[in-house]
Amino acid sequence: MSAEEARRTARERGLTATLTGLHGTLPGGTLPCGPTGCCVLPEPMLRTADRVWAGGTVAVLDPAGVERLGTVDTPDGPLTAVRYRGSPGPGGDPAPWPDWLAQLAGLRLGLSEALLDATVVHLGERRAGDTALLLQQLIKGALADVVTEQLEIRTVLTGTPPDVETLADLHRQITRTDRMLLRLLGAGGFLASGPGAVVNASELLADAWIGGGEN
Amino acid sequence: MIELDDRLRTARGHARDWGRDLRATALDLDRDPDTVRRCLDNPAVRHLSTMLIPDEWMPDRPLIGGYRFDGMTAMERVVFAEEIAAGDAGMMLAAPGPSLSGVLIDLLADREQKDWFYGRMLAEPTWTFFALTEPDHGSDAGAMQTALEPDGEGGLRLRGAKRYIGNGARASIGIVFARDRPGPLGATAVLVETGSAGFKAEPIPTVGLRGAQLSAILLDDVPVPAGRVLGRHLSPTRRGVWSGVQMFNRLRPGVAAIALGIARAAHEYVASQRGSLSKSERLRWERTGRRIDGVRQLIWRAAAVVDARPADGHLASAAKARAARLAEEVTLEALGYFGPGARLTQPMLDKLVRDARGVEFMEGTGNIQRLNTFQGLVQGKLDRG
Repeated sequence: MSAEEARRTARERGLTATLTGLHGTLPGGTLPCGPTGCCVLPEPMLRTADRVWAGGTVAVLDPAGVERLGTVDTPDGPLTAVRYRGSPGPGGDPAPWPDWLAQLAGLRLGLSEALLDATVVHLGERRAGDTALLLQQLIKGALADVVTEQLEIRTVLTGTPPDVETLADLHRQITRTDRMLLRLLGAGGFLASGPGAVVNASELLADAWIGGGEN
Repeated sequence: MIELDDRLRTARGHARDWGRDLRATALDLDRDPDTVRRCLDNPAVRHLSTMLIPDEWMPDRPLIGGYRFDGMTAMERVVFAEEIAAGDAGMMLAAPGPSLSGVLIDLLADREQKDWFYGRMLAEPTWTFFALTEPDHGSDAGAMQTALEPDGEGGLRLRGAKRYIGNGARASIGIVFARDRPGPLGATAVLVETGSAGFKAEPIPTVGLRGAQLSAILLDDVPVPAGRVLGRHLSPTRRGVWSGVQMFNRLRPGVAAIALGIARAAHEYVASQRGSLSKSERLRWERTGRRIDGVRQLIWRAAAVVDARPADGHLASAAKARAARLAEEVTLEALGYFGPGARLTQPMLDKLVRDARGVEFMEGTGNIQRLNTFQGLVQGKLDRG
C-alpha cells in the first residue's frame, strides 16, 4: 500500500482498517517497532507476528520480549501498544523505515483530511447568534490554514519519496494541523468518544516511530 | 515530491547564478531605486525585461542552456522568480519589462495592441505599471472610483487616483483599471502612456522592497484613445473583473515564489555568515530548510494548477499566504543566529527582514488569500479527493 493509498483508505475507512491494511503489506507477520522498540497496532496483528523490527533491522520475534504497554482507544475499538525488549540478532536486513514512515504519514494525513471534512460539517451546523460558525471570518481563516498545511503535506508526500528527516517533519506538521482542527471543535474535540480520540491515536502512532517532540 | 524537468532545472541553475550576482547591488538598490538603471545588462534584469513577451514577437530570443524561456507559464515564472528574488527581491520588482501588465496583455489585448505594447518593450528597456489599487479601498474592484468617460470626440479620459503601484513613477506605459459604468461589470482596463497630459506619479517611500518604487498616481482627465481599451473585442464580462481574477490567479504563484526566495536568502545568509553552528542550531537550521522545501512544493503545485486551469486560483492563494508567512518567519528566525543588534550590524539580513514584510501586501493580503482558500475548500476546488 502506497502512502497515497493509505491516505485515501484512512480518509474513507478510518484508522484501524488502514493500519490493518498496512500491516498486511509487511512480509509474514511483522511487529514494526520504532527506534525505542515501541509499536501501536491492531491486536490481531500482534498475535500473528513472528518477526520484528528491532534496532533498525529485521529479526525473529521472541514472544518473551514483547512488553504490553496498554491500549489506545479509537472509535473502532482499542489498538494495542507494546514495546519489544528482545535483542536485534546479528545480520538482519535493515527495516524499511522510510517506506513505513511515508505510509504512516499517508494514513495520518487521510485521518486529518477526514477530520477537516467533519469539522466543516460541524461548523456549518453550529450557530453563534444568527450566523453559522463556518461563516465567521476567524473560522474561515483557520480552516484555510488547515487545508493549506494538508495540501503542502500531500504534495511533499506524492511523487518522489521524501527523505526520513522530511518524513519526520511531515508527521509533526500533521500533528500541528490536527491540533488546529481540534481547537475549532471546542470541548467536543476533547471527548474520548469523538474525533479527539482519533487524533490522540494518530499522535501515538507518530510518537512510536518518530517521537512527539519538535526536535 | 514534485521534480522539475530538465528544461526547468536548467532555468533554475542559470537563474541561481544570476541571483548571486544581484547580491552585490542589493543594498545599493535598497538605498537608491535608480540603481536599476546601471544594472540593465545584468542577465537577470535582461531576462525580466523580456519575460512575458511571446516568442511570436521575439523570434530571436537568446537561448538559456539551449532552451527558450518566454515566461508565459506560471511554472516557468516561479522557477525564475525564486532564484532571482533569492538574489535580490528588490531587483526582481525593479526590472523593466511587461511584468504584471504582461499577463493582462496576453489575456485581453488584440493584435494591434500587442504589436504596440511588445514593440515598445523590445525597442528599449521599458518600465510598465499595473494600477488597480486605490486610496482608501485598496484592490476592491467593486468599490473602484477611478472613472473612464467619453471625451465627446471619440476618445476617452481617465480621472481618479491609484496608490501602491509598483514602478509607477519610472514607467513609460501601464495599465489602469477604471470604471466605465456602474455595477459589477463596469471595470475596464486601458493602456496609458505616462507622458500623457494629466498623468502624475510620485514614489511613496516604503520600509522594504524599495526597488519596486511603489508610487501614487493621479489621473487628471488623462486622454485615452479608444484603441487603447483592452478587451474591446470581448464581452464586458470577459474584459472586466473576470480578467483581473484570471490575471491575479496566474501571477500569485510568482509572488509566492518571491517570498520563498527571500526566505531562502535569509536561510543561506545564516549558513554563509554565521560560521559554525552548534548541534541544536544546525538541527534547527536544517529543519527550516525543509520547511522552505515544503512550501516550494506547494508553490510548484499551485503553478501547475493555474497553468492547467487559469480560473482556478484557490491553491495559488494558499501558496501565496503560506509563502509570505514563511518569509517573515524565516527572516526573523535568522536574526536569532546573530544575537542582539543583528538588524543593525547585518545590513543584508536587515534588508531581507524588511523585504519579507512587503510580500504580505502584494496581490492580496494573507487574510484575503485565506478567505479565497476557504472558498476553494467549501466549493471542492482544491483537488482534495
